[in-house]
Amino acid sequence: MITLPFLVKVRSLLRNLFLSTRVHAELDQEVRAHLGMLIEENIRAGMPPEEAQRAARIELGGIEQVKEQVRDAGIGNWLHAVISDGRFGLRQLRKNPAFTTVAVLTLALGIGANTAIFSNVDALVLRPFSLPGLDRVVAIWETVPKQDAYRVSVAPANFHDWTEQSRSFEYLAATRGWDANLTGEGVAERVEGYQVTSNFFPLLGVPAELGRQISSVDLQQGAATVVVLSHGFWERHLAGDRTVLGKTLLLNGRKFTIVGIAGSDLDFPAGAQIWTPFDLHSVESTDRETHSLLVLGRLNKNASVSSATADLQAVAGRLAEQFPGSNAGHGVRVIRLAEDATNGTWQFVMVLMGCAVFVLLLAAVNVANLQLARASSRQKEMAIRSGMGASRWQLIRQLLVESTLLALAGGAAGALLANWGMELLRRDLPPFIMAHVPGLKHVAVDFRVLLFTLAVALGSGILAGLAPAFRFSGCDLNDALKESTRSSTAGRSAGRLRGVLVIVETALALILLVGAGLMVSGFRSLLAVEMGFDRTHVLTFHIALATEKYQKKDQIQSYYDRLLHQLQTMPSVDNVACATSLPSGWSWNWTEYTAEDHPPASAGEVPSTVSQIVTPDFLRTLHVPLIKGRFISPADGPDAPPVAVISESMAHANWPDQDPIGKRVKLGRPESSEPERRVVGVVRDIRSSAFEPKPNPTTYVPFAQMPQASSAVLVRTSADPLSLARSVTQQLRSIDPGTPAYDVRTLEQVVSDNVSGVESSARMMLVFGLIALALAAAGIFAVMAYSVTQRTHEIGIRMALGARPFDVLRLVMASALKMALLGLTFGLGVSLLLTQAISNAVFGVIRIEPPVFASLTALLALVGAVAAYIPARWATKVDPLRALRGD
Amino acid sequence: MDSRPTTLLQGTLDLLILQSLMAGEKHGLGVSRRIQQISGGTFVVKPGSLFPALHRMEEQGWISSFWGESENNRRAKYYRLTKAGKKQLEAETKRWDRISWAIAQALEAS
Repeated sequence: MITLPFLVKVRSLLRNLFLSTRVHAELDQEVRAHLGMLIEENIRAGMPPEEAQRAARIELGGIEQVKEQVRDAGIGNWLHAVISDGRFGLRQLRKNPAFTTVAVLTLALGIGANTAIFSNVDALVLRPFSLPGLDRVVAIWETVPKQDAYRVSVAPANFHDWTEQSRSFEYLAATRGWDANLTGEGVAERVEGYQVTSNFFPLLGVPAELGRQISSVDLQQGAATVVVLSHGFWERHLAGDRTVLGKTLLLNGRKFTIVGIAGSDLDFPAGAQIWTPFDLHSVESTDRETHSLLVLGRLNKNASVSSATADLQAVAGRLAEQFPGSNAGHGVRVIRLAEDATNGTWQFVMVLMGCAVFVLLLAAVNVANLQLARASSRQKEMAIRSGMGASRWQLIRQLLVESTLLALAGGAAGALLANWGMELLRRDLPPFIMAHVPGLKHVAVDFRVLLFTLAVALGSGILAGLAPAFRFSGCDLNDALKESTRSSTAGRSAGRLRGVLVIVETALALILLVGAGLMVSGFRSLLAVEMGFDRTHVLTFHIALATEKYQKKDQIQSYYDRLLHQLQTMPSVDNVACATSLPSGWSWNWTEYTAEDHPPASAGEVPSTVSQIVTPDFLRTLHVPLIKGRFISPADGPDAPPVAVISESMAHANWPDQDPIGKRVKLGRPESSEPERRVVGVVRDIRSSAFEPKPNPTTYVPFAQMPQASSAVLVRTSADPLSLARSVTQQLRSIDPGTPAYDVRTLEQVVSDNVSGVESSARMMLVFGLIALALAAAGIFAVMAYSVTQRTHEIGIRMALGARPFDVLRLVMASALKMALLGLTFGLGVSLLLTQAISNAVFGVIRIEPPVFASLTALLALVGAVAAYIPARWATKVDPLRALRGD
Repeated sequence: MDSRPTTLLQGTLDLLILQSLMAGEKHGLGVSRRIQQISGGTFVVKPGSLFPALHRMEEQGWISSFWGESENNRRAKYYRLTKAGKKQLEAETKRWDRISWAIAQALEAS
């Protein structure tokens, strides 16, 4: 029974804490009873009553004294000691307001940084979705290992077979994007919607706020026209009206009945505003080619990710044998949803978290240093306390309690700072990112985060208190008592410990500075990437025609003809063009293709190209130069021969030594019915994204030969692009009020939004770097200044013996530079290793850049030198006579 | 045998208290008198050391306490040995036997 005594201890601790008056009363009663019994005993022995009482009191030795002795022995006593240590510590800190302020602020910076970043880690990485049992929810993808594709959307028929044949899941559900134009009552807006199977909501497990969610009822006779609204959409658009159930919304021109409002926690897929039923069993139940579904599963109790993978892999293997044409080489990947959805954000967040930890270490080292300096002047106090009988542990406890008090104050201030830090991280994040990065909306300093802050504060308090505590308890107190505060040389071990702290501090500061420098430089090089197009003076927006209303190609074509014509004739508009996707936008469209002279070696090795379906003015609008041949012209109509224009890298990939003009290329899989297109021109490469290491091979196809319901529209103007936005929306309304423009931004905005995540990380790291620089400078300065005052006597002697001011300067600077050099070397080594380790994780944004390393090392060395120089100058001003007479 | 009271060796007080409780539950004075009795009057435990020891041992779980009536109908706090206390007594007894044997050996040798 090991636990029993422990429980008894805990109980008695609690009793002492919460029932202390009762404990005292009982003790009093017990001792008085004892006295009473002693008296009785004495009377029985034949003493007269008065004598009996006197003898009993002598034997007892005083009621209060006995009680005091009992209290000293108990566990409650330990608690009282800590409280009185705390009181004493507070008095000490109050006596030293300058030290206290600096230490608290320093710790606040360190702790605040950690709180701010941890709140992001918590929301973005640990709990990206607030779903019950999130660790059992998985995303399921098809894989085509031969093409290096591991996140392929699922084909409907495959999903159907998985559902029938797998045994690992409590629920399997599928969803696919179904964005719609919302019209009626003066609004025309694009809403982000998803079609979901009947298991979708039960799988997520978040109850509806109002009404019901989509269930099998809605799929009994095809998909019912009902809709569930997200909590946010309901509040924004319907002002949280609770009588909204049963009313209808006009989506893509059709009436959908509102049957429910989802719970406010339900944010899946991230950014979803509406959900409608998805009927898998209609036309698509045999389709194994259209990979369009996002599939989710909730593992049942006996299944793990790996057992579920094996289960589905077996099903996929059978399907590959049964349907070799579509399924050969296709596998399955099961991955926890939280992991799947946070790829792309967690790397950045974790790098920031690492930096925040370094900032905290730096702050703790600084405070340790301050305490060491202060501790030296308290050496006598400690010696006296020890002489009066304080044990080694009691002295350590006193110092630890003091530094923990500092850290708790720092933690409180840090939590306030953290709010500001989070604002800094979120500032200027585009709405698209805010809506679509899972968890980003929930980032807040909440209870969990505050708990973390408390833990960090306690930890850093102990960390910052350990060095001075052990320094004291280890030193010979007799020596300390004899040593005067102005001794000839500073205590050797104290000096060495401070030296080590300065070295560590310099190294940490360099690591942070280099990290910040590399991030900022990485961000700037992202901005500076030659995109290959002119991003200035272009307004962009998207439109999507409702396919219910625009079913025929010529309807679509005539809408776009009108659109281009009307916008083109607006004043100050130079060119207007449509394209499948914006260069450097959020997504772009990849298509497989076959090129003349290059039949694919096998079914698994069909190459891919970015396909852009564009109107004739596209290149002119973006100022992309033509290299060879011609660009798409208005003559490339639906009945003209199919043509394509390709990018330089596409030409190089297929016909490196030949003239690509006149060659044939076919988009889509080899067996598809797409026509072969004759290449009529080659244009300069443009970048799909600043993150791509090189331009993607791109194929441009005339819009008229492949009309698309949804398009990006680009308008080049001589005026300020945003000033055009209002009149453009008016023009659109005049063509079709049911088709709103959405995602209206300038092209410059599009490009910078694309790298905004890096921008906010870089901004945060820059702040960390500056804090590091300031802390390091303060640390070096404090230590050097302290060591100069400690060595005044020695310097005085040296000067009396004939040392010139320059010699003194050199003496002080040399010791500072030695420490700085060690710190810089150490820091440089660690940053090189770290950079190498993370350069892959953050998409090549951070690379080893020698100039950054060199310039920041030099900067830190310079700052360190200045911080050491000022105290060194003081040293030269030492008056030898006064220094020697000092004692 | 010298019958003057002797100061207790460090660490033996616990042993004596545990031993005195072996015979059954007792209040503080009972423990004190019992120790006096079993040591042939050699050890007299003053309340100033007795009560701190009792409370400390209670916190360690070796003894437990309850309120009861004394012989003269006085409310008094009684202590009794717990399981852990019995184990502790065994361990302490063994330790003491070793020490006393060793000291006896050492004294004989000279």
